[in-house]
Order: sequence, then C-alpha cells, then structure tokens
Amino acid sequence: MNCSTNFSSKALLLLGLMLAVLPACALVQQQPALRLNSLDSDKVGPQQAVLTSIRWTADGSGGSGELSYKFFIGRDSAITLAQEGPDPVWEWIPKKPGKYRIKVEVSDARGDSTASRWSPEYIITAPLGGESLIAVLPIDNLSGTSAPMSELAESFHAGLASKGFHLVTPEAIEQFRKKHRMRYTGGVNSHLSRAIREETGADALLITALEAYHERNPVQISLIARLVSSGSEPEILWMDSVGLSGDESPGLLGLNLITDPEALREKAVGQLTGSLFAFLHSAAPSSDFEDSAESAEPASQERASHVHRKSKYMPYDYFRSQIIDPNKKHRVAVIPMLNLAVRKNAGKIVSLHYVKELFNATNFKVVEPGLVREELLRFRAIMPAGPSLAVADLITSQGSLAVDLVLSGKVFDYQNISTNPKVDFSMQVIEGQSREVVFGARTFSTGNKGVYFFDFGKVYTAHKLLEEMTGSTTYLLSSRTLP
Amino acid sequence: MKKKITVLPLLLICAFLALVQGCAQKTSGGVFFNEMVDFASIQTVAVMPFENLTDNEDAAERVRDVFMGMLLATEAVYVLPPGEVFRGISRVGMLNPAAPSTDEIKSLAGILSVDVVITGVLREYQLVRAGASTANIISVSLQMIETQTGTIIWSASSTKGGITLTDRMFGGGGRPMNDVTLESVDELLNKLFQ
Repeated sequence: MNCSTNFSSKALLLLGLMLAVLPACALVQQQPALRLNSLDSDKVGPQQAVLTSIRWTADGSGGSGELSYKFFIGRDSAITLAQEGPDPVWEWIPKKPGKYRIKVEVSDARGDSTASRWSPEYIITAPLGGESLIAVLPIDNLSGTSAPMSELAESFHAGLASKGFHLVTPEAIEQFRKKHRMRYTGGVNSHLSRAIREETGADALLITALEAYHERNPVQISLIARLVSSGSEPEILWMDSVGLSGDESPGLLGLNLITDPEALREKAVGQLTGSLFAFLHSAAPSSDFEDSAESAEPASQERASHVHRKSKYMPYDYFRSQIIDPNKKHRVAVIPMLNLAVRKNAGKIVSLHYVKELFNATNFKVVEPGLVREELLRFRAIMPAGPSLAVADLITSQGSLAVDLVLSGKVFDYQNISTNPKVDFSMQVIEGQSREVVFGARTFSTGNKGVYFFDFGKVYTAHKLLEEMTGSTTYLLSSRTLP
Repeated sequence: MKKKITVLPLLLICAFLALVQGCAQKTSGGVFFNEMVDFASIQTVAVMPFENLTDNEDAAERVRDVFMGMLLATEAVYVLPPGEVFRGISRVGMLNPAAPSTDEIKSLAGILSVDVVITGVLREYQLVRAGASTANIISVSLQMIETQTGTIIWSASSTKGGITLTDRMFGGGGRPMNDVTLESVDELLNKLFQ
C-alpha cells in the first residue's frame, strides 16, 4: 500500500516538474527580440554650446534582463562614448560649436545588442554671436616677476580687434573698475558680472593670467585665458592656454631661435586669440560616419584616448573611489592649491590648469574660479592645510555653489627653467554627498624625463609639463577604463 | 630523584619562555606590532603632521603627503584629508601635533571619528657627500596609535638612499630625492601590511 502511494506521489511530482519546466521553456522561446524603438532629444537644433543642456532619451524594449544603453557623440569623424549604463536618458552639454550626430546602442543581459542609426546633424552654435561685445580685463600677473603688462594688454587688444572682435574700450573698463573698486582681475563674481553687463553692455569677459615670463636666456611666455559669460550667473564659455620658449624649436643652425621677447609675445597672443576666434566663428566640417558596428566601437576610442596621454606624465600613485561615476555629470569647484613651492603663485597656476582641463573634459562642469573665491571669502574660509570637510560642506551646499566635487591640492615644486623644468604636486577631490576623498594623486615630472637622444621629446616650459600632468590626472578622474 | 632535579630547571626555563612569548607583541626587522590588535578592523586613519628634524623646512610635509597618498592608494584604509586633520588639531588645541598626548588623541578621535592616528618623525632628508660622490638620503620613522586606548600598536622606520659602495668606487650622483622618498614610503607600507 505504502509502495503504491510512494510511486503515485513520485509520478505526480515528476509531472509537476515537467509542467513547471515547460512553461519556462515557452517563456524563453517567447522572449521578445531586443529592439530600439526611438532616440529623441527634448530640443531641436541649433542650440548654443556650453549654455544649453540637451536631453536625449532612448526607448529600448524586449531582450532578456536589464537593458544597458551606450550613447555616442560623433563629430569630425571622431566618435566618443558619452554615457554607458542602465539609464536611457542622457543629459548632453556640448562644449564646442559644431555639427554633431548622436547614436545609441542598447544591449541586454545576454549580450545581444542593437544600435540606432546616426541621428541627423545636430548643429551646436557658439554661445556668443559675432556681434557680441567682449570686456577684456587687465591681465593677472602670476609670473612672480615684473612683466610689461601694459604692452601685453595692448597686444591682446590689437590681436582681438584685428580678428574682428567687438571690445569694450580699456577706458570704460578702467572706469568700471574704479567705480566698483574691482582690484582682483583673476576672476569675476556674480555681482560684478551682472554689473558689467548692465553698465558696459558686455556679453562676456575675457580673463587672462600671465603664468610665466622671461625676457632672456631664453625668452619665455605662458598665458592662460578664459571667456566668461556676463550676467548674474557667470559661466566659462571657452578656455585655452599657451606656453612658449624661444629655444624649443631652434631648427637648423639655430635659425628658428626666438630671442626677441616681443616676437614671442606676439606669437603667444596670436595663438590664443586664434583659438578664441576658431571657437566663436569656425564652421565645423560636416560629420560623416559610416553606420557600421565597427565605427562605433567605444573600447577602441577609450584606448586611443589613453594612448594619447603619455605614460611618463601619469601620476606615480593615485586612488579613485567607486563613488565616482564616470557616466555622471559632475559640477566641480577648483579651490586654489596650497603653495609650498618657492615660486610665487604656483598654487593658483596649477588650479587654473585644472580648471582648463576639467572644462574641456566631457563630464564636468567647472564653476568660474571667481565665484569660488567669492564663496570662500563669504565664509571666511581659511585653509592652511587644504579644505576641511566643514569647508567642503559649505561649498557643496545648495545655498552656495551646489557642486558635487571639490578639487584641491598642494604644490611642492614649480621651476620654469628651460633646461629642465620641474613640477611636483598632489591633488585630491572631495565628494560632497559622501564627504569623502574620492580621488587622490601625487605626481612629479621634469622636462627631461624620458629624453635620451638629441632632446627628442624634451619639454621646455613648466606650462607644457603642467598641461600634460593635469591632463593625465583629469583623464584618470573621468575615464571609464582605468589603465 | 637525580633526574627530577635536572628536569625542573628545564621546565622552569620553558615556562619562562612561554610567558615571555605570551606578552603578545612582535618585533622583527625594526617593526613593532601589537598582536592583540585586529588591524583589519582599522578603517579610518588620520595622519598627523610629521616632526621635522631636518634643515629642509617643507621636507616633513612632502613626506607626509607622499605617505598619505600611497596609503590611500592601497585602498585598505580611508585616510582623512589633511584639511580635516588640521581642523581637528585646531579644535583640540594641540601644542605639538607631531607628538600628541593620550588625552589629545582621544579628543581628536571624538572630533574626527578615526580609529587610529599615525605620527611620524623625519630624521634625514638631504644630500650627503663622501669624497666625489653625492646621494640623497631619507630616514623616517612612523607610529600608529590606537585612539581608544592611546597605545602604540605599530611602529616602523625606514632609511633609503645614501652613498653605496658602487658610488664610492665609480662616483655618481645617486637617485633623485623623489625616487628615494617613494622607495622609503613603499617599504614602510610593506611593513604595515606584512
């Protein structure tokens, strides 16, 4: 009796199992195919660079498990992976004017993937029109030496005017500065930014810093400039820098040596104003992409970007927390670095280089340094050893700068000697929400590092050295795949 | 009976040795570990400014910065930012942060919420000469102090660089100070995580 009962119960169990497995198989077979239904933006082009945020939404369906989206930007035949993850929405703040195309690739948990076609050309215009009025602020001398500032300012005015820029007269700027007791010209706060728009009609301010200046043996000049929008919320629209040394490309028998400081000055000013002109006036070439899977291989793009960063300028040690999400847009405040070097203003110089690198990186929005200075003065924040968590709390709060990240650091060495420039600094990034150090790096390099034959690969200015070093650390901070 | 007398001193020696071992502390290769402490439970560290016994004014800050960066890069512990450590020091009102008292350490722990503090002494950080040879040398010692009890739970020192026999025989300028500092800090971290 018992036996028969057991037998019948076993048969029932087997039958039950089969019934349970069969529907599951049917489910697997009936899994809808992975599809990408649409890719839409909330704004139609053209839109302004830097000042506009465009939301792209992808609609994927089917597939197995959670879907993952990769958004690609295509411009001038270069493809960049902008965002990767389960979020089907991507906030895009284009940094440069041009003609862009967007593409999305969706993949499921099984590894199946499908991609959209490249979107029609999306035109991004310059944030300022050709008729815009620019106020050129007196150049901030961070060189630590006396330099012909008035001649340099005249060169700048002449260079900009020759390229067709509309400028506020120096007299009007001087009058404005006197009226508002504006002594600091290395940045602009919200009050002065608003006032300059109302009183002079300027649409933007050109803020320039003289990083280094040598008049002989050899002649050298380094400049960092940025264009900041006027109004109650000043924003960086463009930023670039130049560092030149008279002996960096001597040519055959030293015929290309530059010994005249004025000639080098004109060259540097020409490069900077040319860069600004290209940003505001250039018509970007039409982007032309093949709609194939190969053309949108993000890993190769990431690798290419890494190869671009020379390994000799990478920090010898760094730390990056999991809290940093490379897919997320981060708003960053760069605090002037603590200067332990003999060279005057070295901390401010390294900070400016970071502002430039972060501004040009895709996933960061950098707060104008003048606004950061205003907030630090408002809170009377004295930081003899860098920002404490209390200071970071104040800066990151919604009532203040509302940033996600605070970048600071210490500069130990900055030697701008043409024969062998040296830069030594450490930097750290504090995240506001977690109140933790989420990135830290210590880096040191010299101009002769990795140079073995005939000065091949030698760096002649601390400016270029710093450009590479800050670029490398910014790459590590923002990259999806770490080396 | 004779046998019993000879065995007794041996037993006593063994018991003494066992007792000495039972002190639960280990010192080897210039490293001290308090083995009663579970080092894996240490999560947050504050690195205090180092005592500077050299002529170079910024040397201690340089070495401290290298040490903090490399310790953070190990991802084994979280290192408080220097600005936050400075805030704690100011709040406690420490007269000599390089050599804090037990009470000061306990107060600091209350403010910063750290498990341990690390203090250090930079003994040498300079260029040494011998005949025609020159070389950079660094000598640093560190101590880790538990904040709950104020006791030292780890201590180690490292000396790197200096003029080698090859330098003396063939001359040479030694390695850059930065490289020597990295090597020394690396050795200290190896001693901490051994």
